[in-house]
Amino acid sequence: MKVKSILLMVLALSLVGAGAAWGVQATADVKVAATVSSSAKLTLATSSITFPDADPDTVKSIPANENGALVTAKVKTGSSTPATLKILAADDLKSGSDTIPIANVTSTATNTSGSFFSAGPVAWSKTSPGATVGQGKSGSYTGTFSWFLVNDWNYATGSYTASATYTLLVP
Amino acid sequence: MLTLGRLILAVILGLASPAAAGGPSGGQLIIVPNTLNFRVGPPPMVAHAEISVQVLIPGQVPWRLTIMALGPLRSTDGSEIPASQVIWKGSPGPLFVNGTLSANQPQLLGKGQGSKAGVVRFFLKNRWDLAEGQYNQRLLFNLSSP
Repeated sequence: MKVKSILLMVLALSLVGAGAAWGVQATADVKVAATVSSSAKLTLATSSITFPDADPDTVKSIPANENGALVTAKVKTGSSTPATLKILAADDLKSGSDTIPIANVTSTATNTSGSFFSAGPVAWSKTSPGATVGQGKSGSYTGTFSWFLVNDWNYATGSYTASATYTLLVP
Repeated sequence: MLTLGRLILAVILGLASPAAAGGPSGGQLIIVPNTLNFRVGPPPMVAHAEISVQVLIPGQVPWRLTIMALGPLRSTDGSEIPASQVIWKGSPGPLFVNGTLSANQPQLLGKGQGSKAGVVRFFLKNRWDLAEGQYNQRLLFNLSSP
């Protein structure tokens, strides 16, 4: 019984070999090299945010009028070097000589595609390199940003402004 | 000095040499250049590379040409791009056909009779989730004729 099985197998191999017999056979070996460069794109649906006046007794944290703004981050980075999204304020909120610390502004985020943006709340910073509001590997990410200002009776009346910059960094 | 001159000449010849192989019955496959270089920037830019293929076979003997990747494109830090992310367009048709690269699975690139030449343009699908790096792999072209 064992001998029969071996004979059948030899016959099958012979048939396969006969079917694959070709008169001409030539091969060529070609190298493939792909250089994937790092790159980054950042889009934010708004370029300014506004906090309306509110009663500190009833509104402890003032939401910005632009909350829920769409944000998109697209990055290509190394597998062991995650990209980071940072927010760096130029200075505190100022109205003449009156100031509101920039750390009183916080941001939160939701991720609608992928997972890159920090849920927060993250306090803004004027100290380089700024506060991290997102981090991740190569990919295309979408989400929303919302901003809040701590409300306080100690604020002097006035119209305060500050500028801040979001930077998407690929190491 | 003469030795240095010969050495330089040898290096130049080595760089310019095509990937070529002869068969036992006189068939020959010549592919130029012997390296496909993809430069992948930010999407939607598509990276492409081109080779010329020359099949030299006596008379009107039929032939068949296949292509196969020996694995996914791999970077030095271990990232991979599946071979299926590379597609090609062969011309002239119907001699050379379009297709998608496969790892360890030969795909038909062309078939005909007698000596023919063509061009194959390869495209690497560009996506944001590709990790930065330098990737490498080898392609095996196989010409056969009954």
